[in-house]
Amino acid sequence: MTERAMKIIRFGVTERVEHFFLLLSFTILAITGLVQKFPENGLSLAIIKGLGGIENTRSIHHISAIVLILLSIFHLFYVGYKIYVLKRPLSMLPGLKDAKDVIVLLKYNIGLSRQRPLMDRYNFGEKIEYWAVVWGTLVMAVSGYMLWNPVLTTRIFPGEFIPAAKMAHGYEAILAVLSILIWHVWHVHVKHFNKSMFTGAIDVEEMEEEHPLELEKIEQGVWPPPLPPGQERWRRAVLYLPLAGLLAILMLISTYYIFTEQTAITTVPPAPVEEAYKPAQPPGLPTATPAPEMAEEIPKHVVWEAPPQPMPVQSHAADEARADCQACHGSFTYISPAPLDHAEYEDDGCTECHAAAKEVSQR
Amino acid sequence: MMIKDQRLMIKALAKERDGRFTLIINHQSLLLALLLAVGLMAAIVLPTCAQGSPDPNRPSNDQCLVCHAEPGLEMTLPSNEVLPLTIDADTLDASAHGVHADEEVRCVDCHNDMSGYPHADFPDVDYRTWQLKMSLVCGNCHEDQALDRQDSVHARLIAAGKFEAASCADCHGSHDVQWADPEKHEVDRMQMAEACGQCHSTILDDYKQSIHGQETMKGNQDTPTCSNCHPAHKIPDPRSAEFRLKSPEMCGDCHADKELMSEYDISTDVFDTYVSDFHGATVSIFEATEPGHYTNKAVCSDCHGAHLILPPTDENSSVISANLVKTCQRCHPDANESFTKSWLGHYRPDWKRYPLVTAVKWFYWLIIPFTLVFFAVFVSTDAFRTLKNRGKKKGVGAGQQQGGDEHD
Repeated sequence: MTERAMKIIRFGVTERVEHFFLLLSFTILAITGLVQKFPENGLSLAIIKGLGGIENTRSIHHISAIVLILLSIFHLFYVGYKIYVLKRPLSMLPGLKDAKDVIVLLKYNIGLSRQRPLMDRYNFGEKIEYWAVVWGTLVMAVSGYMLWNPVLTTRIFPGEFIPAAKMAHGYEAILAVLSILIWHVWHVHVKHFNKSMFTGAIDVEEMEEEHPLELEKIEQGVWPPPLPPGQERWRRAVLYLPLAGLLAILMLISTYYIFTEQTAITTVPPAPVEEAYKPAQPPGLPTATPAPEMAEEIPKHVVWEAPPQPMPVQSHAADEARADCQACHGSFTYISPAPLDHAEYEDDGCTECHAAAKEVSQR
Repeated sequence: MMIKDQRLMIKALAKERDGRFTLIINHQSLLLALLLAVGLMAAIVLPTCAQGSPDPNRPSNDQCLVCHAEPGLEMTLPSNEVLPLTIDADTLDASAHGVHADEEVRCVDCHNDMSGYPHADFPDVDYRTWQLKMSLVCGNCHEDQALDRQDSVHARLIAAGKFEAASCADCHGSHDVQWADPEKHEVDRMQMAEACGQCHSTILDDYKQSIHGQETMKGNQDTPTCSNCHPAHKIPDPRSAEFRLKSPEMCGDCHADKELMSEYDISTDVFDTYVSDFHGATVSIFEATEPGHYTNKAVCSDCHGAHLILPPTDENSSVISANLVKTCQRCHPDANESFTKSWLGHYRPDWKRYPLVTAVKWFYWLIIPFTLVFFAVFVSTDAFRTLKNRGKKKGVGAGQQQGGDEHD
């Protein structure tokens, strides 16, 4: 066996930059999205608060979504370029072998098979993840847009699409996040700490375990397959690039329109509150207590004459309600108080001297 | 000031006596001054609702009514308003402060600036100023209510110079004050609404037409009147962000109460379905994170109305499907008929009513567990094998650089 290189270049700069933006937008989308999915959770509320409130959180979510969509558009045309112009093999396409590999690896894991499956450039684990991201991004972008601008959406689709999109957006998010947490974290963080998406290089040892077929081809010098001749590449590029560019521009324009279409997204503020103070009657003084029916018989003006001695009770009758003269007129009261020398007089003796005026007592 | 003959006469009597018992009168006036001072201090220091009847500083109502029962008694205020001064003893007795009160309340308990006769001059320029000052007296006994009221929208408006805003007597009455606690006394709840309607007449009209008002007028005790949503005496500003954010919970207090709603066959899902949807979730987040921040996300009253709430089956209801597009357009001006169908009408989606939503739900209810089980099975076996292999690798020895795995 010849001396082997310890490391092999696995990803180019473009893939690594793409991955970085995917990682960034996905994480932000997941955090700002899940807190909206579970708004009653204390941690969610703390994060929302930390991000400056729900409106801010939504803006961050929207901006990250646009980053992810732009990335997806770029990826689409980049893959197209690699396939059509550079004639790269379709190594990410799943095939029957992948299903077989799953079963063989499961068998190997539990000891039923002694042979680890021999996997190529992308093993089934990576293919599952890649296509899960493609599917997830598609579902999230479409349903997410429907939720972003439901008014425009319902001009084209039935109204029920909105709650359905909400259902899909929420559940797909949970599926995506759990997939990443289980599948991705296990394979490239726990099982091996695979840094090839950042450094571009992978250990040969790891290649041996995960991609033995590719390693073999590399060592035989047949991988990666040679690029088509320069002339053909040029011919294909001239055809592909303007077409792809046009399509990309169309997609960017529609994305821009979709996310800035204001009339449908913008809500009008609620109508101003009506003036609540509308008195039934203009405010004023309390209404006068109506005079009793007998009122006309009561003399309106009592002509005062000099009282004989001792003073008669002239203002009112000594009737039942006011039988206790001293309650008002005792020496220590303040309605026409009796002189101090009256202080020890009996309660019911008043009328003996102070005859009530005849006219008044008849009331 | 217009002085009626009764008072003239009493004054005249006093004058007559002045001439004849000068010395004694002087004693009396000294005594009177002393009593006044003590009385004034007592009014400040002692709680005025203290019991015990024979108290010269706290004359009985009868003593006041000697004059104030007299028909036609009135006085002209500095503002030229004519204030009637005749009190109807029957009204007073029938009031909550009357003969059935828990504690005896006398005229001077409220009119505690009245000390003796002749009374002091009217202390304010006009009636309203004086009335607003008088409302402070209520807090002497009703302390909790008075404290609550200090934060109310009415109190704030008065403080800002809008004297027409309600104070105690405007709602409760003065000499005819009525019981207001429906838990302790039999209270006509519609009469309470009418009290608010004195100033908020258009709102009262709306309320009377609403399903709540209609039921209240029939004597239903479950329906809300004004104070159930605008709790007296706190009455927060209903235009405030806080009130708006809290309002769904307010509606939910009754409408999420299964026991209460079962009687009327009204779904109690309304609150949960609201909170789980976009508007409700946003409002609840706002309430938890930014309670003072205004949000335009719809609350119950934006769709159902605040005072003129009709049953959703009523043809004039703002939420019956025929009128829904108009209601949505209040905030979403470009909304069309199809947009209104995006709202699930407070229903939980089922196959019959919302098949697409239910299908999506079931798709994920199947695909998520399936995926997770597959992942879990695969990862756990993979982890098991990896650990086992590493153990072996160590066991075989560090000398072997490659092919630690059992490739064979």
